[in-house]
Amino acid sequence: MMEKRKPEFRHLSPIVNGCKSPQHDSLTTSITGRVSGEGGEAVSETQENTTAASGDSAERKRVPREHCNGTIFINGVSKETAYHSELKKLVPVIELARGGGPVDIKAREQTADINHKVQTTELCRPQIPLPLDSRDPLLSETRMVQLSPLAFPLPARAMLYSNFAQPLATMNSGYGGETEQYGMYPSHRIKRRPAPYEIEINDDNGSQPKIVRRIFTNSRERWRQQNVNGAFADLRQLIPTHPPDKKLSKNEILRLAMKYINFLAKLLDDQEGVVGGGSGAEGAWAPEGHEESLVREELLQGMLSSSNSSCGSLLGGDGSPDSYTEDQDSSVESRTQTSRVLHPHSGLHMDEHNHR
Amino acid sequence: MVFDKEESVSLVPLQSKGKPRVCAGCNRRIMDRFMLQALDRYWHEDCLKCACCDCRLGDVGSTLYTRANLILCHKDYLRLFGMTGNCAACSKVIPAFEMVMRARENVYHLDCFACQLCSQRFCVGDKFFLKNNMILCQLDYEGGHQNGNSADQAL
Repeated sequence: MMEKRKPEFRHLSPIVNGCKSPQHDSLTTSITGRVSGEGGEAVSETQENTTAASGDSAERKRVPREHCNGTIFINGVSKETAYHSELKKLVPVIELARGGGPVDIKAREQTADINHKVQTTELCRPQIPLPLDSRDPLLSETRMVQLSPLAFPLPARAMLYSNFAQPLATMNSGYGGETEQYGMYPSHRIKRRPAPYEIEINDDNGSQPKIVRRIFTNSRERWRQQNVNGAFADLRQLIPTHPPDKKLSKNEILRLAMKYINFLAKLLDDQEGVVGGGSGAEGAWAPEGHEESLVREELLQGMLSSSNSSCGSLLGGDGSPDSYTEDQDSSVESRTQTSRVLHPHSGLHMDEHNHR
Repeated sequence: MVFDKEESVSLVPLQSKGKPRVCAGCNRRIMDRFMLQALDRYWHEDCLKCACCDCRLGDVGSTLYTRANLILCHKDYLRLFGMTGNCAACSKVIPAFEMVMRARENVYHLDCFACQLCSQRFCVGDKFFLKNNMILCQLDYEGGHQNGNSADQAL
């Protein structure tokens, strides 16, 4: 098949330039504008080689139109088998995406109908080779069947969308290929269940204040949503991740924020203990300091086990990183001491520790 | 008194001779082709992670910071224990891990370090001037100087 194709191409190259002129009929112009350039050339081939058998050219006409969905057009002369085998290669992709793939092909095989409505919207969505009209009830049923298993792996997302059930039903009622999502979760472009105020307006033939109220409510809700999203974005800035610009969902933002807050709180408690035990490490405080260090070890182990998987021993040494920090040891000490206004004495702190 | 140490992390291959090493993170034998060596111990590449951001320290860089029994990457070490200050240009907080520009005693955000009149940032080698604690590029600084001089002369 491939070898048969090449001489046709070579034959065509001087002709292709001519074909791109707008004199040709709508068929050519609509198709040369498609995603796949080779597809365009193939169609021009159909226009030019009118000397070929009519059946052949009819096949060729059909093939590029149905096949120009962004894939490389390999075979211009459509043997039915080659064409369908190619599409069958696409089938797994379509199944994952839309779930209507294999049934679509079979429907087309049966009808062998050339006169599909060519929706120009298909140009933008290479995954959907056909218009999904509702002429085949079997088609919509199978789509329904295949959509629900797709929904199961993502129960969390299903919970997020309260109107999840409704859009599924509307999708399955022969809705065209206008949804941008592939059955994972409903897009906001799907016709959704109308809100109460919308229904009322439709019935009441909308007096002016009701329309105003609807618009006001819409914009208020949008402002509220933007406010919430902005708050999430601000919180995201404070959470340490690797890489720093990693995308986090709202759920993840909240959970990681909780984790980070607990981590910081435990670190703070631990640092209190360290500083208290360190500064009071002379003479009388030695035994209490020792106990304190044991308590500190427990705290640390708890923090380590809950928040991370690393472990290590306490090491001594000096370090001075290059960045903003200067004299960090003394500054940390001074900082912790100033923040310990409530615990000026390590002994006092120790008492509180015992009372806990 | 807690001391910090900047540690090195090195990627070492598994030695076919000798006994296999035990990972200090999970206490299991290391059967991978490569392992990390740090703090006089051996680790799986997945086990040596920052306590704060959970990045793999073998991937991020060759230094490791440890403090308060925590293993941290450079950025998080500064984030947790570094000193913060305020930008002299916008007076907002500078987090400890951010890169800064310094001029005498002033510290600036990297983005804030620009001429405060024409908002042009500087290229390497450009001269900048400090006047009234303001950063000025050469043109604006000299523009002000010339105006002042001519006013004096006019008087």
